[in-house]
Amino acid sequence: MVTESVAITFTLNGVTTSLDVSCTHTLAKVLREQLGLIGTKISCEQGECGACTVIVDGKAVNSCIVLAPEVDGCAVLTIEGLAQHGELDPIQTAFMEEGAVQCGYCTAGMIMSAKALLMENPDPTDREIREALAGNLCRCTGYQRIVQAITAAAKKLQAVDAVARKG
Amino acid sequence: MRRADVVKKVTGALEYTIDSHMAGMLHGKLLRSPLARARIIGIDLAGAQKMPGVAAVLSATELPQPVPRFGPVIADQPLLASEETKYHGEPVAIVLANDEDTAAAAVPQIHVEYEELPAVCTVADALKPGAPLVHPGGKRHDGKICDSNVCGEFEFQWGDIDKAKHECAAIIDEVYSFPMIHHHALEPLSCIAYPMDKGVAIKSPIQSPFILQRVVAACLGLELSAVRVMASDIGGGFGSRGYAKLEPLAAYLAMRTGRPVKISTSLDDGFFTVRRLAATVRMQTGFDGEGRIVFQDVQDDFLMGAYADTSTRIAQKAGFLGCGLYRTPNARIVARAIYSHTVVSTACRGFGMPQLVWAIESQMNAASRLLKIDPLEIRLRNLPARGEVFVPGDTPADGDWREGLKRAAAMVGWGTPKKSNVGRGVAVGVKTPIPASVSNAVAKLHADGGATVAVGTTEMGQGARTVFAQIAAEILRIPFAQIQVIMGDTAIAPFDFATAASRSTVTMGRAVMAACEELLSQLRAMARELGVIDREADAEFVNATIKGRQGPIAYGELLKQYLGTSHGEITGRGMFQGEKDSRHPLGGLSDFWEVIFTSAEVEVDRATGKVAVKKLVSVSEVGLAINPLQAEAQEEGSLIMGLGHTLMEELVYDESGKLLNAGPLDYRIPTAMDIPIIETHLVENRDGPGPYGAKGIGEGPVIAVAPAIADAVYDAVGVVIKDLPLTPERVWSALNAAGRGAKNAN
Amino acid sequence: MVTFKYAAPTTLEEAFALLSGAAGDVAPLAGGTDLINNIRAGSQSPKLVLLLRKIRGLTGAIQEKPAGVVIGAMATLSEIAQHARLRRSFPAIAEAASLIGSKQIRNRATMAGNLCNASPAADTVPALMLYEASVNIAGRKGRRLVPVTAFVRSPNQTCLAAGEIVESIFIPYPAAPSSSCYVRFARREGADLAIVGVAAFASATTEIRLALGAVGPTAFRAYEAENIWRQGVQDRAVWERGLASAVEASAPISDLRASREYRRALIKVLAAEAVRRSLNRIGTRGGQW
Repeated sequence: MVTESVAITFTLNGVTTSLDVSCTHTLAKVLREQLGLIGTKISCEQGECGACTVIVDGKAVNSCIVLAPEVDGCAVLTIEGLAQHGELDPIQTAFMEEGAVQCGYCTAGMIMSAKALLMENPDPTDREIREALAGNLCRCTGYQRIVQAITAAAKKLQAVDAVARKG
Repeated sequence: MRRADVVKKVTGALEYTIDSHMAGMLHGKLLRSPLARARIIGIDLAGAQKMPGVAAVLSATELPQPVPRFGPVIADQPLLASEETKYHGEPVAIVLANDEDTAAAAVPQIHVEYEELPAVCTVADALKPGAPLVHPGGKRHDGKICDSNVCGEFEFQWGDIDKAKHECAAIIDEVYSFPMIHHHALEPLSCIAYPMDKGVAIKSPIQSPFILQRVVAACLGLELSAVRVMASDIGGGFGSRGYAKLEPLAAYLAMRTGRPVKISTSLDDGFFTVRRLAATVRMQTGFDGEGRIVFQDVQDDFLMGAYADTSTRIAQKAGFLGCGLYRTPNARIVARAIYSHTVVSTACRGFGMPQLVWAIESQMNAASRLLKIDPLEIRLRNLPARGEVFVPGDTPADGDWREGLKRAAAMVGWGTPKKSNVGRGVAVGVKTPIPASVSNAVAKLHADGGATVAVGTTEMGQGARTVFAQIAAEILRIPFAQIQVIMGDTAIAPFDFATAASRSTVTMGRAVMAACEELLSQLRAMARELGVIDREADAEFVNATIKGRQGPIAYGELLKQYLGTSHGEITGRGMFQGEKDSRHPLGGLSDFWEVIFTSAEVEVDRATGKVAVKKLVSVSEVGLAINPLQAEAQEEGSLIMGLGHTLMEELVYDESGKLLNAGPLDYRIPTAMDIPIIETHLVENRDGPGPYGAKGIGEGPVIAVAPAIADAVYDAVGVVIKDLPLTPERVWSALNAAGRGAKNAN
Repeated sequence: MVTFKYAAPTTLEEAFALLSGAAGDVAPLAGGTDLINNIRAGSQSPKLVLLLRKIRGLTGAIQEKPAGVVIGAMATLSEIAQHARLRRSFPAIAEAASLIGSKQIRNRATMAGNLCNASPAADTVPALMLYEASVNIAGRKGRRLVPVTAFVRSPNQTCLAAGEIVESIFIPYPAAPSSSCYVRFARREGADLAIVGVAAFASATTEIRLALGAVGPTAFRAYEAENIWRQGVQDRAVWERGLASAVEASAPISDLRASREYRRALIKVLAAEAVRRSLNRIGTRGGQW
């Protein structure tokens, strides 16, 4: 029962993954170092900056303060899992088109927070977008273009959805 | 025009230095001093050394003696604290281990005995007679020996200030202060060094690879050719990655151990590594009856950290512009850079100008109040017209500045009715690039007609890579997608002074243009020799072809005909150097003036002192925006960085020199919920020296946000505050002191 | 990171067995937003971290019972903030939950955890005190119900004994129609800690309740102010006297974030705001409001 190494099974970007993890390692560390997925960034390592944001069971979380064994049985989505069949997610495209990316270090975390928001709330208000981003720090962009990008992506996704529903 | 590197950023594929590994790499973690100033009595490394997986543990005693020191101006910073620590957080020892966890676990096993000593952390304390010296016997900026805590002192004078003091209708004498600010780049600082056949290679998010090369070589006694610096994409620069921090130590350790060495830190560590200069500015300004400046007598005291870094250069360069952009017939500016037992201060966006413009513009606001002249109007009366010289011996005004200021004011609704507790303010900011600086570029035309441009500029999200590709594509008439840009590798790119000071578009842009033009010259010569064209002057380049007598010939085809199949590519070189002038105090004239007009509308809650910024505007003189999307994005980011130091940011030290708020928990920067409506406007008169009339950008808006907001607060609720940040509590205190608090605190 | 071991029990009995031992040696893990940070910073060094999520019997369910609502220990702040019944019947609690940290934090952090961490600035505590909520504690020896006011003892200290965990939090429905509000002041609009937090409750029977957070070693109910206000808050003098007593009952400190004087001033401003909003919510307008 009491262990240091824990065997976990979870879905990672849609793929069932089984792994032995050290219980002292965070999800961020396991993603980056054990699984080689460096898209999830580390910065503050204390849940203040949001650079490490991933989606667990549909909710945005700071992976730097989630212990790896906690995701046993969960569905984890990282930035690497957004693009489907070589096609970028509309949020990713919107970030590029709106000029919402500068140094890029906060970008993955921002996009994951945006993704979690739009999964839950496809038509967010400006305030709801900002609230969803309140835990994602950026020093380069001043946030305005990031909010614009998410607004644009939401519109695009709704349009796509409307077409899909018609058909 | 889409940015080439952005796809990698939105998919998480871009590898920053902090993400990088090398086979056989040792991980380094630092032990930092918990005290500001302390004598190191003894260090016991044994506990750490014997941990399994630890390869080496070193303190200054294990280094060559005297301990190697580094610094871009004065080489005063030791690889590890030697005999005495000089700031809270100074690296005292380092653990090298086979993995990061082991290194981190070993650090607390090092035991150090300290004897705490009194420290100085403010300008006043540092200058008190009998104050402890940060560097007794150390060198000053001018090469003399320190006999006080003043590291550098610079004086600029013109006109006859003593006479002018008698010719004023009003004299305003005030003191303003600007706090210690942290850059707060998101990527934690790290670097990797590994031994080469001869010398050492360094991979780092460094903004200025050639400066790093020089500094490391000097520190370790190596030749320049023995130090290779490869700059990675930077996860946030702002000047924090401009100069050597961990690299000299990593380089030394790589050479000592014969293995790659990575030293990595966290966001919190950054607070113990870099900050912006703080400043206390005393301004005595004389005005005539119409509000025109008669004289400025300025004392700029910059509080630097415990080691010089580039702080004296900042004091000198900013001090030179200590009167700002205004017509100033008589001036005396004394700018000093003063040591303190605090974290090292380095370049930070604006390079001293946010601190000085806070004072300059606050002073104009004071004049506006005293002389009862509208704050916009008083500035219009003092701004020079295009072509006017306002700093003797330097480049004349290169923009229609009055128009720019009026526009910024209009964008915030200047003069229109407003509700109570709402106010508006305007401010003017200025900065110059690095005078007489040099950029070189190399461009290669490949056998298939594509091209590679190699530059020493680094990418920190400002989009330099894209801009250079755009320039090359335009000159060479090759599609953007076929241009490769290699950046920041000292072994591949020719010398570039720095990626800083908003200079890259102008200076490196010109160098890239020149390199591409040289390629075209070579193509012209080849074409003529081959008889494809009659005279070189006839050459016409279109769509990666040269128009010949028998129709267009693709570049690749021309190369094949001239050099032979599989023989070739050609290389072009380009250089740009800013105008040198040995009579100029900074060594050269300004290539251009980076000018910004900022305006703000705020609403103040009298009961809590909270300042809600409703709108923040920036109008920037950019000459031409080669990439408008990137340019505007930079400007917005710079505005919000300024909002941070205006409303909420401040590094807090106690009297013993302990930094109390290192880390994002208690050093708050703006979030997406804290920003006002932002509007930016780029003034494009094509009047800059850069490609297509461009000027430099990237720093500007951060410079004038604070005084614009402070004057808006005065306009709203009638309180004048001379220190930053304008936290709710500070505004509330000012309101209460002035009897202007909420009437009904309910 | 410090070394520790890990266990993920599936029954309460297993959990109790593992929890018995020297205090501080075993740390229960709910949302982890405090624990992991504390381990990293060195303020907690458990030998064993106990995952609570898999224990059958410990849920995040928010159950509506006849007498009130039972919030399971594993209910996250996000779930609480968005729960329709909680927002309607206990707005201050839902509001307090919605203001803690960021979305990422709220998606993991539990209200039970917020209570157990017992930070003086914890936002949910004054809101829970307002409604006289109680904590359902489970341990080897059985269960006990403790009012929140007694549960939180001092900074970072609760009345939990070794081997005990919080099973749920019970919030009784108020007797009369009522509403409430939680307001706080922080250094910025985005994710932050409260400098001052105020929870106010107003009922149709003109009862006003007030609880304050971040201005004392623990959050507290301003009972004396509430007594004074029974005379009718529409009277300016009564209102001011009540406010003054609330400020007197507080013991704010001066620290990096704010001075004592500023906090005292903010109490008055926020209390007025919180009471006003609560009265508006039950449709009462009057006089100075």
